[in-house]
Amino acid sequence: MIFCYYLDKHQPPKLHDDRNVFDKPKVIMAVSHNENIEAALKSQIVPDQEFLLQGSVMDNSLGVLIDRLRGLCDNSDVHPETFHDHEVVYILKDFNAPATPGPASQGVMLRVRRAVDRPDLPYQLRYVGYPELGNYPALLRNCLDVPVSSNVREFLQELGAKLDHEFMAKGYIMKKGRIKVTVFKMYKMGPGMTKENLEPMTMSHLVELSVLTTKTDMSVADDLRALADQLKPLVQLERIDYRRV
Amino acid sequence: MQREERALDTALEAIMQRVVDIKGSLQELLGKIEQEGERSDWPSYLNAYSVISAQIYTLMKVLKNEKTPVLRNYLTLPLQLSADTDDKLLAATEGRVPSFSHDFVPNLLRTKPEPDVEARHLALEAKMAQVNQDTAQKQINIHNKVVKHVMEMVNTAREEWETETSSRQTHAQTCSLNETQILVAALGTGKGIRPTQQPPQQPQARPQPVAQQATPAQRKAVSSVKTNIKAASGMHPYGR
Repeated sequence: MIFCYYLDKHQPPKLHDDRNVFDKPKVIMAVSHNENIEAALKSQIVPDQEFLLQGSVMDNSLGVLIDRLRGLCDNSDVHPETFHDHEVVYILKDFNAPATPGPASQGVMLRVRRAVDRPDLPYQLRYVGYPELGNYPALLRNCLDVPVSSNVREFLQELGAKLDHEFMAKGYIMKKGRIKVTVFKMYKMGPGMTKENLEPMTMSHLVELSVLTTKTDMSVADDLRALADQLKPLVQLERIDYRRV
Repeated sequence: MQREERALDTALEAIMQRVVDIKGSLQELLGKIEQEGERSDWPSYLNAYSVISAQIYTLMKVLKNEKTPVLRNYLTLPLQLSADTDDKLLAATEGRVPSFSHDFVPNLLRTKPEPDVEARHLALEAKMAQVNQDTAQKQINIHNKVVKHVMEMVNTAREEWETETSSRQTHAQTCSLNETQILVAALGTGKGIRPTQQPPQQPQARPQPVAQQATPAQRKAVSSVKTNIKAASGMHPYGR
């Protein structure tokens, strides 16, 4: 399979222009349907924008939230699908450059996700951009997901990316129309980095409502807001810029 | 004498006015049921009923007023029956009673309930007379007790319900903004999950020493626990 994905050039993590290797963070593999994708990008019909609302629910109220979500989301007759993912985050940048303030020195974060409970599924390589400025009803950011083969970690290391951190996520996934709803708990990887030796981050589950859309279709954010309002006051879902936390 | 007649006239006028009001409301309600039926919503029907009940209440108040003469002291006698159509009567009754005839008068001027209603009333009175005074009192007491009990149950249920709803409103701590921020920061930047700043190139070598260190520590912990248990079990029999 051949992929050609460009990381969004409008996003902040710009690297220094004089370093060719890192200049345009042109991910990852060979080029084939180049023209088609460029044309699609130009007419802004690529669903590479993500609206996101985040909140958390304490563990003792998880059951209530799941019940309510089951009522609100599609397929309420079956139990919500569970997932157990392992995410490893790599940073791609020039590690020898002097540290300068601003996003330029932070490099690009590339996230490799794999389903621990479903080894047959492909790995996911994921890039999320910085939140867009502007008065949107939900947090808007660039987002790319690519299914990749299992040797992606070696490949990233060969590119010069460094492992930054990793964690486990365990929880539920549901959908309502185009909206993706995930409720999951984050675990730190304990000493020895074994899958069993997990330490929960907090006593809460993170709740995320997200929807992929194009730059031209912003109306779906209102649906997201409506769903978030229906979960109040059980969960306060808001647009949270993690850089300001 | 004249004063009494005048009082009667004014009282009758007031009563008539109230009755006309009630009749108007009833006609309105009937028209509503006929025209809108089930399409109209429940609250509008309730409104109509409450208007009528308020009007009946004011009518009763007029009747019980001190200035209203006691109407039962006045007699109404049919002096003459006639089968001929009476235009005035027709107008006064809005076309319902065409003539003051044998058909209508017994019904309009009757002072007793209908015979079968009267019969049932009498039967009930007879039954009441049969029952012993004491047993009647007892039954009344039992009935009161049961009613009181049911009232208590309803009240406690209501109290429970109210406290439950109020408590749900007060400490509905189902989410914490602080934890949200911790989690979002961890997900976005790795804050809190990133291992302590490590020198590069050693992600694989690092875990091993940690694991080696961990095992002796575990062993130590286990042995100390064991001795503790032994000492305790040794002490217990003598202690008792």
